[in-house]
Amino acid sequence: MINNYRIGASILRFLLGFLILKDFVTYTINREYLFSRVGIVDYEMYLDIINYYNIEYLNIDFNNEYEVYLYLFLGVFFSILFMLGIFQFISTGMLYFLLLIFKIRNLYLLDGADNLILVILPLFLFIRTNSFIEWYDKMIETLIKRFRLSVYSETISYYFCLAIMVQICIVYLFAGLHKLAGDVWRDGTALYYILNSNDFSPTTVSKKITDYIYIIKALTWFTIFFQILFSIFIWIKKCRYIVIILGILLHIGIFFLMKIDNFSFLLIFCYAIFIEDRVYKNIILKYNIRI
Amino acid sequence: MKIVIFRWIVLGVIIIHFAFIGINQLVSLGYINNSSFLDNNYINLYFEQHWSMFSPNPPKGNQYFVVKYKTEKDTITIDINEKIRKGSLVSIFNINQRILKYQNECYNDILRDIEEKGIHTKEIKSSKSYGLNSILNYSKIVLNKQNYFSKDNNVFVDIYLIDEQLNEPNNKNKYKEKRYIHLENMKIENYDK
Repeated sequence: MINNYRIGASILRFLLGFLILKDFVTYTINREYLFSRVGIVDYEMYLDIINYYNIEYLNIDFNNEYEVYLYLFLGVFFSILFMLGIFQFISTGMLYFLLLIFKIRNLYLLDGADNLILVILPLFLFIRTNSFIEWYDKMIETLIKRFRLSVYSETISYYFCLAIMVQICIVYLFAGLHKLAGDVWRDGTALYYILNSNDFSPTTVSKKITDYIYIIKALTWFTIFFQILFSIFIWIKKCRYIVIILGILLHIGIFFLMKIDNFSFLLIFCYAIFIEDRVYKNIILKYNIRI
Repeated sequence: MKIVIFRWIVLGVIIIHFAFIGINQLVSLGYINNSSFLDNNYINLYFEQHWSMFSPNPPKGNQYFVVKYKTEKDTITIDINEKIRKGSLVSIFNINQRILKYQNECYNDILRDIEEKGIHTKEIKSSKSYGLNSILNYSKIVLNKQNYFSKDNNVFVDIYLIDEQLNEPNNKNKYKEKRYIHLENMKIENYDK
């Protein structure tokens, strides 16, 4: 068995790493508000969660400035390693726990992207991807061959690539089903309320669109249909690229109209893994791209 | 043979994992009964997922905080959401969008204490509300940035939870009349620290 999603997984790993790196830079700039005892989210809540789940090993003393800096340094360091694909197993594991600590410390400050990163990241523990360093890839290849692990490595990588795809389908399907439970989603006016909210209307364009109720209804119902049907049509090869193009348009729209950035970009990045290696290879050959 | 067994083990692990996730999601939708055993032993804390963005119903209007800072001699009133909203477009390295969402969570947390738990607004400070403590922390950060009061003053705050509901589409007035909940005289601890 050969993992024919390795290039897609490598692209997703790189982009995911870049997003995590960007987040850790943001956390570093805003460290006083995010981590210190007088940070935005109540410090007692962090201690309460640590005690409740009995996870003392995740307890960082955020009152100690050095521990905060060490935490942030490790975050930046391992996100660069992860982005480049070096020591992937270690960097994935470390990033997962560092982000889990961020989640516990800043429970109220999390967004959909944090949630998505935390569910996708651990799946990369089992996926072999291409790094950006040729000699490193050759070394790993030699080691795998020496211990006759090629078949196992390819098999586990293939299935965990599929697991990421299933996870994306779960995200869309349940987001769509949750929406179906709401009156304003069913009657097509949900976007009217969202785009008129000051928190989600970055420009006057968002509010202006709400004057045209038919556009609002069309966009609201399109969102529900897309989210529910994504998990069916993405598996049908003939429909796959149409679904991906519609998804990209949907998320670009969400970004510009609602200023939801990380989540929109991350889901667009995730589409990379749905495309098979032969398609990437054809593109590389056709446009003579040097990697 | 070995590879076949290996393949089935990998597949089995993935199928079981997603079956648990699926059950957890169906519970969150209310399609099946609560599965606290599964939540406590597998889902929480490591595999939690929430995909109910803007649903079942999105916020139908604007909910935000206005804070009145008071000393013995002076007062200043600040809409603590306003600058965050304006600043969220400036840089990709800011946390403004997160703060807006967090203030919404805090708003709901305080509201839950008042409406569901029946805690009186005068007693809310002692109710250990996470939402309120977070808002007080944030109010302190805003105040420190203002340099408005001298540091040796005792500063108290009145917090107004403003609720500005939207009317249904095609209504002559877009918004309903503003309502607010008033939380009085809360001390900002360790101001300037």
